[in-house]
Amino acid sequence: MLFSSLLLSALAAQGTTGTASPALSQTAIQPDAIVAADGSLQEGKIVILEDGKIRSVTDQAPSGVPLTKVSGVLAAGMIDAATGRGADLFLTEQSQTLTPDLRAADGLNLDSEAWEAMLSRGITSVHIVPDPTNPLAGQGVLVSCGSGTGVPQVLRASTVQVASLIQTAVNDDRVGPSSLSGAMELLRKAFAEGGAAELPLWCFVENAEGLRAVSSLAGERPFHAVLWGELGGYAGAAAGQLAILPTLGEGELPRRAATWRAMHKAGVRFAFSTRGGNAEWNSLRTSAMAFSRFSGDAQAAWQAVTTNPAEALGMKPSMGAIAAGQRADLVLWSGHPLDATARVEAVMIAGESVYHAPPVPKKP
Amino acid sequence: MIARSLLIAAACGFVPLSGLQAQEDSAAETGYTRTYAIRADAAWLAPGRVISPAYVQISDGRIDWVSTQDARRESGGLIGGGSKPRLLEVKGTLSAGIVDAWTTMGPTAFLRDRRNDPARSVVDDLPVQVANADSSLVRQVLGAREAGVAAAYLSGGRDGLRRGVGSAVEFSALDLPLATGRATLEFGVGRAAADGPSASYQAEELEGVFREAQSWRDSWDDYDEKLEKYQEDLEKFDEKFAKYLEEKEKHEAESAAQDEDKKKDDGPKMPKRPKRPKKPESKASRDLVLEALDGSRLVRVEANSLSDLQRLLALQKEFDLDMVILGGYDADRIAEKLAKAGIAVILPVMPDHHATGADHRSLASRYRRLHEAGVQIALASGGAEGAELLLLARAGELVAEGVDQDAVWASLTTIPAELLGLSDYGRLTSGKSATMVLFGGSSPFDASASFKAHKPR
Repeated sequence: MLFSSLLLSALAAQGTTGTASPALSQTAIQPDAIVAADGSLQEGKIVILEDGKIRSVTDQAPSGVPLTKVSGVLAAGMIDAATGRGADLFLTEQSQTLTPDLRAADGLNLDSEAWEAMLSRGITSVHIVPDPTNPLAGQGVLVSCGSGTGVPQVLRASTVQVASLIQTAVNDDRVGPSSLSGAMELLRKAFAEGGAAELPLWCFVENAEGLRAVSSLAGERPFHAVLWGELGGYAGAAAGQLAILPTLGEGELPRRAATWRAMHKAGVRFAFSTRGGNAEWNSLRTSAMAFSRFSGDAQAAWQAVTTNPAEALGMKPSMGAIAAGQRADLVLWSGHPLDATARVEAVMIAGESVYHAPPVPKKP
Repeated sequence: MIARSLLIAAACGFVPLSGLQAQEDSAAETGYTRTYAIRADAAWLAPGRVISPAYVQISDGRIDWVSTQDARRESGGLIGGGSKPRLLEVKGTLSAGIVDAWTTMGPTAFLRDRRNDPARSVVDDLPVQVANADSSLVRQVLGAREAGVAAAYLSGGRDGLRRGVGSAVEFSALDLPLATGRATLEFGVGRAAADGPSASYQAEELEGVFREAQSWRDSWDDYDEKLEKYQEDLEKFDEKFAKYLEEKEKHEAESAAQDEDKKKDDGPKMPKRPKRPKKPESKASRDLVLEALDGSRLVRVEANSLSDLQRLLALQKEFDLDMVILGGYDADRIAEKLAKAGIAVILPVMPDHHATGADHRSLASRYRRLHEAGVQIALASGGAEGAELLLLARAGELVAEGVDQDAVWASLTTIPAELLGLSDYGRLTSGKSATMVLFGGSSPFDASASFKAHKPR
């Protein structure tokens, strides 16, 4: 069933007011508020679900559609723009320099505890990418963290062609090129000879030189950079771009705050990734909260974990927001998801209930 | 303005000159000089105490009064002709600034000094004027201010068993740290004190430090006894010496009267002068420990393992120390004992690397256990650089996991202020610091809403 027992049983449903239903396949949820795509809270909205998608967001429940009122704030599930979670420890083949056809999808671990851990933190989709240890590293896979059957589902088996110009790739003692120009030569040849899969290009870079060099390779295909290393030098080169940034780690917080601010000011839009970033389960949300505080722009912060990663993956029309036509990947929070005191109450993916939070321990 | 008003009032005989002097000294030290008022939608006066709306009047960086009504009065007293302090109207809720009881902040020269002198004090390296200010330290202060921190603790060192003398600081109008609060002495044991692969100090060694100081103090009792005996011996010596002189004179006279061949060779023997006992040698580092033994210094010890914490409990009991534990990963396992001993715990909000796998317990579960037992808990940025920027987010996560919000807020304000001896911080009441925060949303933990630090003018 689309709506399932999620909101009825576990979320303190306060009353279902179904009437004779001409639209049996539809279900309506009325939370205290929803988080709009701009990160603001909108009260009184009713979300109509149908066939695993959001049919509409309205102020009035359509006649005949069962309406369930729930306590909490309904938000789109967060999307990890690039990660290794949910896959084998190593997603790489180090006997070769170029592995354009290596598929992260082949290294998935669907039995991993990571999936439940991510759902419990409000993450509903992850983009798993190969380790950026080869100049051409392989292809990413987009996975939904859960499903009605309890098993994560591959949404797209080959998402992007991953390239890498980070130090471990360009200065590999065994097989790799030893300089940026050497790595670029390999990449150019591979692209010219059709050795790189015809997919959008995502390249891991660690400085502005690498970013400028690889930008020209993309040609007509969609391109996004994953910005590693010291971010200070990127602001000019990445201005106006949608860039993938590792989540906030423990070190150099003041410098990271300053560079995030500078990049935000330069018009760089962020999509946060745990690949190369903080490995804590909550780091995606923590980074968004920190970015909101550093920049004073809660909208940009919320988009960095929802609509921006969806856009970078070419999935913006179908995921990342509560809007008509989007997948019903929804998370019910006890407050605004950027409020640190809010917790995940329940998660649905494609309209199916996939996670219920355990009861909160009694307050001492 | 307040200084001028006070001068006029003093001239009229209403304000004692000493009070005026104190006001001027305070303003001169912190550099805050203005008098103004703020109207906000609400104010958190202390954990669990909220008023709405809130009017706060500030003079010289301190709060004059807090009220739900505009209580501004015209200045000028009997002479008249004054005006009301300016009123700033803001949206949001005011609260006291955070007190970060454990940071990595510090003067650059001090942090680079590897001599590891246990008697060194961070206060000696604090800049006193902007012209010579340590730019790195000022940046750290600005970062802390931005995160809502009003006062912090600058550690006397980061590694080793003995870590020198740190200090609580408040921030001046020019963003320089000013030493304040109670005197402390810092130590670290176990893995927290790892000083490279070859030196990981144990709680036993810390016990040794206090025992040596105690033993040295006891040696003064011995010295006093010896000194007393020396005085007695000296008096006896004087008597003997006088007698000796008499006998010697007599002997010499007798000898002069006798024939040369009958003269005695053996005259009276001179008594031996007693030796003054040696005074126990004084040492600056030991003096600090003695002050801790006297209770005039708070002993801060970074420790995490259960065995180290149990040794610290015994140490605290044996010497009746005023002690606070930093880190305290396993403190929840002896929460009742810590509460009974009155030992507070400063928990770092950043991820803890002291336990993995089955031993891992979340910050929330450890906090809850300590709180239930009645242990005073401060939440601090701890050992990670710039972690104050995530302090509120991490602390807010405790609330999400079921910890009482007022308790968490107390752990960020009133409790650390008390531990550091900062009586002017932690609450929004008359006389307290006006370094505050202004937040939108329902709490300062909500990053979807606005958040600003208020620096007094």
